[in-house]
Parts: sequence; C-alpha cells; structure tokens
Amino acid sequence: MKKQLLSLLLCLAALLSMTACGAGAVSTEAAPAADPGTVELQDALGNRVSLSKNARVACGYASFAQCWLLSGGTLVGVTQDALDRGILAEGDAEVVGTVKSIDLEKLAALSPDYVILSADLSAHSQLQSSLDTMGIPYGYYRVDTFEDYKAMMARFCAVNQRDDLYQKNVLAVEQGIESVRERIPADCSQSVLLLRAYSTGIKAKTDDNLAGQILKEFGLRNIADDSPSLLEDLSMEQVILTDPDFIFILTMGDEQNAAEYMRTHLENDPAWQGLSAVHDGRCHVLPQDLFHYKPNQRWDESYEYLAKIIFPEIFA
Amino acid sequence: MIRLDDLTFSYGGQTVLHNISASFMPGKLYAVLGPNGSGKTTLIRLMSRLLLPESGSLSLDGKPYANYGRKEFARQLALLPQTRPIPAISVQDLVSHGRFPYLGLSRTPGEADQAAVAQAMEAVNVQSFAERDLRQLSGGERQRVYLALLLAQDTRYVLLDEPTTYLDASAQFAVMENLKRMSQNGKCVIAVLHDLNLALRFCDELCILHQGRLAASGAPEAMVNGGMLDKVFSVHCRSVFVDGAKEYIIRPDRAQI
Amino acid sequence: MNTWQKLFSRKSLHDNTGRAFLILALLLFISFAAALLLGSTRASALEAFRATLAGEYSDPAYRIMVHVRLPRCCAAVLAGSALAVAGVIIQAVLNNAMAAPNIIGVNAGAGLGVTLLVAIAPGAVTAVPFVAFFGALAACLCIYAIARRTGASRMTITLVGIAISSILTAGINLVKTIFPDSIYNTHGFLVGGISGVSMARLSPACWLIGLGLLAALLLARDIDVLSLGEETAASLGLNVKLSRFVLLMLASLLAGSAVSFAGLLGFVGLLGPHIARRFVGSRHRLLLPFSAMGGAVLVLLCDLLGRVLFAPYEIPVGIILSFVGGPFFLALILVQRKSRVYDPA
Repeated sequence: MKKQLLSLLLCLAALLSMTACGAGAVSTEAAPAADPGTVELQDALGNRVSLSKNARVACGYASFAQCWLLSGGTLVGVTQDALDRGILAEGDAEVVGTVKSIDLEKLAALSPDYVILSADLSAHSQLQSSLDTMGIPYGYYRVDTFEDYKAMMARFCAVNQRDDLYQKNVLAVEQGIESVRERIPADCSQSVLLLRAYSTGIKAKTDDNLAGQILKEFGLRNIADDSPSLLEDLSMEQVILTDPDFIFILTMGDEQNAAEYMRTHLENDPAWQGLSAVHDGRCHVLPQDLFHYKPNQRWDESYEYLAKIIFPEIFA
Repeated sequence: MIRLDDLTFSYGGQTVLHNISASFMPGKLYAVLGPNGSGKTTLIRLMSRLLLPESGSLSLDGKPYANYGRKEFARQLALLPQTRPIPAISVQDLVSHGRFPYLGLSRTPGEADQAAVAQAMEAVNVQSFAERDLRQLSGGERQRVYLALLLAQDTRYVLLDEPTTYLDASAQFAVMENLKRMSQNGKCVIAVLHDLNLALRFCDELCILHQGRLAASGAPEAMVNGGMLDKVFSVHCRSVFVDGAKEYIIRPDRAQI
Repeated sequence: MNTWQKLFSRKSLHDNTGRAFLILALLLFISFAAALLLGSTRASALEAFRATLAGEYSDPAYRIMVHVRLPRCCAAVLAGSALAVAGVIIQAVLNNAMAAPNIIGVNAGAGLGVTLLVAIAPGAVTAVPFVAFFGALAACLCIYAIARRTGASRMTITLVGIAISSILTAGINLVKTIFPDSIYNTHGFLVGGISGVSMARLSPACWLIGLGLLAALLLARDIDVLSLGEETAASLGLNVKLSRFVLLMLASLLAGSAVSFAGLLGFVGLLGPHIARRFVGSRHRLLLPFSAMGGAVLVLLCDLLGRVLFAPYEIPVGIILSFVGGPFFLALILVQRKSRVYDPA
C-alpha cells in the first residue's frame, strides 16, 4: 500500500514536471514510464524508447546533435558534420562517420543507449534493420517547422530534466517568432523566387524547405507555385516574364565560394541584370546557418532576417 | 637504282631478315617471291621506309634513305599496301590524292596536278567511271583505280604488296599487264607476288626469299633452270612450248607431299 | 518518282552537293529562327522587335529574346558544330565510324577536368575551357595509345573507349562524393545542357571553336589522306604520327570547348557526321562543314524541344539528345552491313 502510494506520488510529480516542460504541446508523447527517472521518447515514425537522464546518446545528424546539447544532454558519438559546424569541439565525442555514411562498427563500439537519426535521409533509414539486429535503440526525427523543433525539444528536455533550457531555447524563441508574426501585414501582394545553388539551371524551390515555408507564412506568392511541376529547372524566360519582387538564393557547401560564384555569374549575365529584383538590390543570398541547416534556437532570427528584408518599413 | 646493303631486321626477338643485299634498276619489273614467313612483306616495308633496319643500309639513286625528306621521298617511291580501308569517295578523288606529295601548304591542286590525274586515269582506263563511288566498283576495277593513284604520284619506283590477291584471273592479268607497261615506261616496279605463274610470265627478274635470306635472284629462265624455284617452293617447274611461245608449268613434287 | 522524291533522293543529293548544301543551310536558318521565336513562354518576336527599335531595353520580350534565347541559340550552334567536327576528326584518326567524343571518353575527360577544377578552385571561372581542353586531350591520347597497341579494330576501339569513358565518369562521381558541395556538379552539367549561358561565358569558347573549325577545314586534305590507311598515307608523304597528334589536339580543343559551357553533351559527334556522310560521302572538305551544320541543327532542335515540351520547366538538351542518339547508335551497331569496305573485299 505504501509502495503503491509512493509510486503514485512520484508519477504525479513526474506528470507535473512534464506539463511544465511541454506547455501546450506534447503531453501524450512524454508519458511517464514505469521506471522513475526515465522518459519515453516517441520519434517521427512511432518508435518508442525509454531513456534516462544519463543515457549514452549518439547522433547522426548535426542539427539534431545541437538540439540534444541545447536540451542539456551530452553526446558520446556524433558525425563529422557536427565538428565541421562547430557544434562540438574535437574530442568532445567520438566521430562515427559522416552524415551520409555512418560507420556502424564505431557506433556499436560506443554501446549507445539511444541513437538519434534523421527520418528524411535514406542513408539513415537504411540502418534501421542493422540497429534492430544489434539491439541498439534508435529514434528517427523530422524537423521542418518550428512546431516540430518545439515538440522534439520538449521530449529531449524531459529526458534531461532541464526545464530552464526548454524555456530559454524554445519558449523564448517562440515568443520572438510570435512577435514577428504579429507585425506581418495581412495582405502581402509581393512575389518571390526561391532558388537553390544556381549553376547551369534555375532550381526553383517552393515550401518544402524552411525558407519557402516562412515566405509562405508571410503571404508572398512564390512564382514556382504558379507552375507546379515535378521538375525543378524553371526557365529563365518565365522568371523574366513574372519578374519577382524578391529573389532569395539558398546555397550549399562552402558559403564563401558559393557567394563568390553567384556574384560572378549574376554580374556577367545580362538576363539576370535585367530583373528588377537584381538591379534594385532585392536579390539576397540566404545565410546557411539560418536557412540551410535547422536554425534550432535561432529560429526567431530566421523569421526576423526575412521580415527585415521584405518589410523594411515595419522591421527597421 | 634502289640498293640494299646487308639488311637485317628483327621483330620480337626473332631475326626476320638476314643480310639482304640487292639492287633494283628502273625499267624492270621485279617479283619478290618466297614461301609464307620468308620475310617478303617485311622487306617491302623496309624498302618503303615504313620500318627502319636493324643493321645495313638502303639507298635510292645513290643517296641514303635517311637523307630524304618525307615529301621528297614520296615523290620518288610509292607503295600500294596489301589491305587498306576504302573511304566513301569517288574514283577521281582517290586518284587526285596521288598528287599529295606535290601540293603546297594550301593543299590545292594546280593545273599540272589535274593533268597528271587525268593522264593517270587514262593510262589504266578508269576515266569512264571517274565519278563513281569506290565502294561500288568490282575488285578488279578498284585495283586499277589504285594503280592510277600510283601513276598520279608519278614516282620512279613503285612497290606493291600482293597486288593480285583475291582478284579474278582476268583481273590479275590486267594488273600485271599494267605493271609491265609501267616498267617499260621507265619505272622500277617491285611486286611481292604469291602466284609463281604470274611472276614467271610477266617479270623481268625474280628475287626469291627463303627463311629471311635472299636465296637467289635473276631472270625467270635462270631461276627455273637453276632449280631454285623447285628447291624453295618444293615444286617441279619446267618450261614448255605452247603455240610457239615459252610457258612454264608448275607441278607438285610428289616426294615432298 | 515524283519531283519531291527526285529532289531529296540520296543519289540526287550525292550528285549535287551544292543543292544539299543549300538545303542544309536553309534548315539551319529555319532551326535558328524557330529556336529564337519559340520557347518556354509566349514572348512575342514582334514585341521584341518593336522594343528594339524603340530602344526599350528593359521590355521583357526584348530581354527574353536577346538575353535568354539568343545566347542559347548561339551556344547550341557552337556546341553542335564543335562536337560534330570533333566527331569527324576522331572517326578519321581512329579509322572508326563509331567513335565519337562522348563514346570514347573525350567528353568525360573534359568533364573530369572541369569537375576537379571547380571542386578545388571554384572561383577560377576563366580557366574552365582550358582545363576542359587538357582533360579532353588526355583522354584522346589515352585512347589513341591503346588503339595502337591493340590493333584498332572497330569493335575494340569502341569497347576500349566505353571502358575509358566509364572510368572517367566514375572519376567525376568520385569527385562529387568527396566534394559534395561543388556547385558545378549539378545534373545539368553531367547530362549536358545550355540553359543559363550568357554571351560573356560563350566568348572564350567561341574564339576557340571558331579557330578549331577553321583549322580543321584547312587540314581537310590531310584528313582525307589519313583515311586512306596508315601505309598509303605514309607512302604519299604524310607525317602520319604528327598528323594524328595534331588532329587529336584539334578534336580535343573543339570537344573541350563545347563541354566547358554545354556540359557532357552526347551523340552529336556520332549523329552529325553519320547523317552528313550519307549525303556527301567522306570527302572532308565537304564532310566537315556539313557535319558542323548538321550538328548545329541537331542541338538547336533538341534544345527547342526540351524547352517547349514541359513549359515553363525545361529538360536539358542532353537528355533529349540521348533519347534520339542512343537508339541511333544501337541501330548502327545492329546494322553494320556495308558501312566500311575493305580491300580485299
């Protein structure tokens, strides 16, 4: 009787702390587990794993590794991209390969209690059966919107029992985003073209990425939406005819080189120079850490960055 | 005169020609004969400067081969190889290529060149199909066109590697007659032949190669009477008189078979 | 035969190369005009013309015509003629009607050069045509050296070329794997495409290709003599080794320059010469300009098709060319009948 009461009290305490952490979002996912001190995590594919605070966690994707660290956890294994992006320093964790090619041996040698992977990378989904065989628990996550980020952080913060970090890295950011959203005018009639790494063709992007989504939220008309197609090579003729008000360019790889390359090409191509967005200075290369990688705790900065450019009179 | 002095040539570690010495004079039709593997083609390739000898020397009109420039040599000596690709061009175009050694940097044929081409085609009687595609001609006709090419090149020395192989009997005779005429017009014509009969009938001199050495050389009569043909080819060769003219019969050597 | 058949029958064209020339020139003109007037949008030529006269250089129709379509048509003509002539030269040197710059790996060599350059030094845009040239040349010499050793039968050369092409393409993919963010390595380059070219980007290649085509024409007779066979050519006083080397350099220059702005465009070097040969035979003084024009028409029309099929999205011209050229190549291999005659027949 005493034991049952104690367990019930502990559960209640856990439940209360859970609700504090996951305010308004993911109460069902952070269900208290039978073991006190562990939290059940459910990933984007529905897998459930119970994890305690001092679990040995490895991560195959730098942005998610950052999330784990931001929620107060520590990592035993990461992929090379996490080091390249400065999320971890050399020696902080074991490097288990690259994001596109994870070394299963090295991963297994760490005996991780949990492996965080990306649901969008085929290189990661392929590992599922091997991890099952080796008995290593894993979670596949997908973060496209801020809401996704918030949900993931709620779970991670719950495991690491760091409400304060949830407050700082999620709730405060959410407020920042809300303050931007409030000031966006309701009727936006401007058009935009979103490109990725222009070289021999114009790869037009719509809302399947972060920048595209934010632009959609702001109410801009993406000219690629006017001509929906599976193809990506939008013709220059179409761009000239529709003459978008803004042009945003997403780059991959070395940011310096990409910017350099773009500048040389845009400057030398009269077809581009004739576009009003280009000669009026409304053509921008978007910084990678805010738009190519998941901005995580800087998500509000991404919103602000675009808002300042598109509505300069409101966001000075 | 083409003079060969003590020529030796090896290929892949094996000596193909041993110490060949010979001379070839204009105004005569020579046949280079020999069993398979005796080095006939190698000799022709050495004489047309496609190969360089290992030891020994070759000279043309008293000047060593090495002292001749490419185009200069091409105006002295022409080679018709045994096999060659046939491009899709007309007879006229092919024969006109014979003037290549005489064209300047602009590569345009002058009046003299065009006259030489016309003359060459007439000499072998191919001017009637000057515009036809090479590939549409019969084997015999095509071979005559190639002779026209040689004539257009206007060289004193002409080398041919098996010019009669695969031709019909009458076409073979036609080729040999053309060669004879060329030699009578002052050219030195040297042909590698497989057919003993043709060699005996048409040629002024036979050079017989055996196992890489020059076994014998001389007029057909001398070669037959001296038994050289019999020895090298393992045959019986005798002369007979038919319709008042001397002919040669080659019969198998039963003892060797 | 009715007059139409008489006019266009193979024999009559063969007999009257002047007429064939005129027809081809007309076709080129029509293709160029069509490619200029049609596109992925309905920009009107009349509007563009009016804007030119009025000096309204910011008019969209004008900009489309002059800044998008015109450079693209020029690129098509340049790439088509360069690759076709490179094909003719390679076929003569290797004595093989099935050799073409993309088949035997010359294009892939240029592509590898460009890929490496952009991976290592992305800012060096002006060096691209030269690196493409060296890459193409290296591949050419490789093929040629192997051809000398293996006896150069038609099938052998083609197979060796395919092997070398595979190796070089694997090299390109390897560079892509090691430097996954190299900007140049989009699929547009690998399949061959001319979208996004500007006159500025074309001008170095334009000079190189112009010079290359002129040089090829000047060497037409040498190529003819080379086609007679190595021994006959030597007997006629041609420096066979030097000729082959110079011609391969020329082919590499042409193919490399084309690859530098058009990517790995395939089959022009095979189709152009083949179709031209049907009408003018192997006389290179005619074959070279014919192939050049035929190649230009081919790329112009295929590019136009790629632009209008799924407007306003575009399919790179290389994909259309492969759909046309691939089956043609297959047909060639299967129907090998009398494409070449050898003596003894």
